[in-house]
Amino acid sequence: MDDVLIQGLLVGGVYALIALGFVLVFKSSLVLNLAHGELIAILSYFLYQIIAIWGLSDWAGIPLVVASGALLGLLMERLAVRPLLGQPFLSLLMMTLMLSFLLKGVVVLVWGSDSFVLPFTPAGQWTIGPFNVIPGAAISFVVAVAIFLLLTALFRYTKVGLSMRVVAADHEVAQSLGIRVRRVFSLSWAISGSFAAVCGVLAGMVLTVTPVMGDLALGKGLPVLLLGGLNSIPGAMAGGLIIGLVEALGSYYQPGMKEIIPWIVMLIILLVRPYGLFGERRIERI
Amino acid sequence: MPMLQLNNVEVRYMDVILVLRGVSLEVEKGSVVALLGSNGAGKTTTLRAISGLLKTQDGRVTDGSIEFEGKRIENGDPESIARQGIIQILEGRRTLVHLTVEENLRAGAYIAGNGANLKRDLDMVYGYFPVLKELRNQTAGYLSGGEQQMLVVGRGLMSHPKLMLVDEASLGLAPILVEEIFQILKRINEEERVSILMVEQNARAALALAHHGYVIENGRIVLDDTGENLRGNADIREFYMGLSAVGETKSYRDVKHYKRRKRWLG
Ligand SMILES: Nc1ncnc2c1ncn2[C@@H]1O[C@H](COP(=O)(O)OP(=O)(O)OP(=O)(O)O)[C@@H](O)[C@H]1O
Ligand SMILES: [Mg+2]
Repeated sequence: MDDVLIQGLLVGGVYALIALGFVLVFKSSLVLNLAHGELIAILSYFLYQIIAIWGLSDWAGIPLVVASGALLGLLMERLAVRPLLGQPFLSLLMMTLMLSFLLKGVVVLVWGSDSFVLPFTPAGQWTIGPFNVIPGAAISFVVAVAIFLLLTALFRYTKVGLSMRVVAADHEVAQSLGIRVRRVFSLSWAISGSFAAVCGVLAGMVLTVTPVMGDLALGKGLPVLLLGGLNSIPGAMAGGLIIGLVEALGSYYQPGMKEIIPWIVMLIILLVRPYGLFGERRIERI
Repeated sequence: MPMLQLNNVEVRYMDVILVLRGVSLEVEKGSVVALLGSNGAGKTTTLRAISGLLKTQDGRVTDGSIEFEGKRIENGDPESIARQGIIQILEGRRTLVHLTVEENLRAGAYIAGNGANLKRDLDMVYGYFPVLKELRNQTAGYLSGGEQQMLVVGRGLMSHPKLMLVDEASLGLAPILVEEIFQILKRINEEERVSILMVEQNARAALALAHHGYVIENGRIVLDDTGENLRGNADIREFYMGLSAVGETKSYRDVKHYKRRKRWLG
């Protein structure tokens, strides 16, 4: 039982990281990027391509994939999203949905229905104190927490981070202060894309990479996102851990529940707190 | 040559709604200029045309020219115009409500850069607005209206602008606060050598420090004169200050009349 909970918590770290990719983009450009799941999938496949087919080493492959993620994020923003800025939310949502189908199409076209586990995943179990954990999950968790802390520091202490928060709060005020809003958009999408790559690597260690992986990532990311609040970084973290835990508990008692539980939790929390757990409430005072 | 020069500027929204119909005005380096006018006259539009923020409202300068320090800036990018030294303090006290007071100010320092100067600049702003220093770690959204107005002015100051465009700083504030803020604007103009173009419905407050003033009506400049002359101008006194003759107190009917027309008595 304890092991189950720990396992859930660790996997929750990855869910949190998936959600962080959404949050970054949403915060700056108010776009809910439905293609983020497929972005993770295609980057996972690309890693497989680099390592298993081109035969590069793991340590060359991972940075290469992270850089590709950033580039893909940037391209998506430049080519598909920026031309639509200022259009209704729904147009942008449809655009990201289209992108998601496009990416999925590319995966199927290039890799067919191959599925694989990343070769560098350590096998067996690690014993940490009283717990037995799956190595891939433990590594994922540590990486997710590290990225969360880095991101928090970035937002709190750096000029770039502050400019991202200003853009998130008010585009016009940002422009009036000389902050280059479009550059901040590009940056957020690039960072989000590199997060997708990291998720792709981690997911490749915890799960089998299959063509439905994109849907799976979206299916984990969205509940976490809505639970934590669309624009909250700590929310994404807490939401990820909660969903991971609850999911683990659910499947412990009733194996089939795993895929349903996150959505039930999300439904309940949204009913009680429409802004999500950590979503910014509007301050109505002028 | 004036620092800022508008020549027959015509502005349209969405390419059809003609709002400015040939506005010409000048701001001399180091001066305070007031642009007076009633609701919908085109005051905010004029400021946005200068700062480039017209773009976010789907508006464009369709004729005429705007020159700043000899360079044409009409229809430029707001970010690059801000970098050239023109900072607009937007109407309606647009603080970043979820950020703290100090974070708001740091955001204002984006152009000027970080480092050792940041602390000096913060102290400069806290010197003008001591209350902000006390509130530095407060969430900006919970500040009072007056404090928020001070914050947005201070935030604009953080970038060391050459020209500050101030849009209705007096709006909705108690008279005593308006006076305080305008006194500080005057000090900023004199001590930091920031030129100021202010848009106001509160003519009395604006003319108390303006070296020069323009009156805009329906997208056209209908009157322009030195601040001193405008303070004595009978039309201005009657229309914008609510005084019907020199020294005479306002009758109740006048007060009511002017209240209906928004906050001229501010
Ligand atoms: N984004 C916009 N699209 C279309 N018309 C606009 C837009 N913004 C302003 N206008 C119109 O332009 C005219 C001038 O507006 P502007 O905001 O410049 O007036 P103002 O003098 O600042 O008024 P106020 O004192 O009420 O702030 C108004 O008739 C207004 O309806
Ligand atoms: Mg206005």
